[in-house]
Amino acid sequence: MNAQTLPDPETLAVLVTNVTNTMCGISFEADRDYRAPTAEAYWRLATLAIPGARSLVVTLCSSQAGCQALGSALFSCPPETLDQSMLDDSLCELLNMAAGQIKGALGLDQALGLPKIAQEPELSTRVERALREGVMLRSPENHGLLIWVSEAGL
Amino acid sequence: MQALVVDDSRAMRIIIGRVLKELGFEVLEAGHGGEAIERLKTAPGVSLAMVDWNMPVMNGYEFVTAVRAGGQWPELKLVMVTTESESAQVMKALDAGANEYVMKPFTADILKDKLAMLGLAPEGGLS
Repeated sequence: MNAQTLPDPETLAVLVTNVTNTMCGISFEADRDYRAPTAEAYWRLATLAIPGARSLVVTLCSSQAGCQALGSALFSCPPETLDQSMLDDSLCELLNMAAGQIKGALGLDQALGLPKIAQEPELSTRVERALREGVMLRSPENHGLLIWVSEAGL
Repeated sequence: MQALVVDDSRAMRIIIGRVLKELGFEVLEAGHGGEAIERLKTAPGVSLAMVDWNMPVMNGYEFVTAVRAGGQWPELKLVMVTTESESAQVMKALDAGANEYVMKPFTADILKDKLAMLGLAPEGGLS
């Protein structure tokens, strides 16, 4: 990967795993066989902008089971004890760290924005593009994490 | 010993707080820099603040700058906890008065090692 292109699926898997393995003990690989998007895949969707000369938006979404697995590992507590704010916080914080990894890999000297959970109408737009252009990452436990890095405005 | 964890993420406050408690700290929390300033005013025993960079209202850099400019807490150790991995960002934080920095993602051992460098944890951590 050179600094001008966006990370390929395998690189994204490595960058995300750098975060999730360190913080949650969960690793991911790119799921090249992923085809049909389902509503299950985007139960929660978070976005983070990296404004600047090369503005990017990083989007991360997962199923309810995926969010619960990541949240449970991050908070070190049983999944059934996680409330909605904890699940949202987990996804946002993992996105924040993953965006930091992506920014470093691209050699961008730009500050990260704040992560946020997407609400309608942004949610529908983002979901549609993320499902079409995003990269599905899959853990050995079969939890899916959909990540999409896009040039801002797209 | 009291430590203040300043982060808008509840998960990160819990993760960092857990390590600090293991090291014997009583842990206070704040969700952004402005709230952290208020906590410091009412908790004079705080000797360490672990500060996220990216936060709403008042970010970590602004917090460090404000704390050092005020001169009210000269003994307070400030550790930036940040995804901002570029050396320029790290230098900016250190120039503003941060004593150390930790890059996210991190392990408990990395946190303990950084605190050991400040004399706030045993060398080699506790594990």
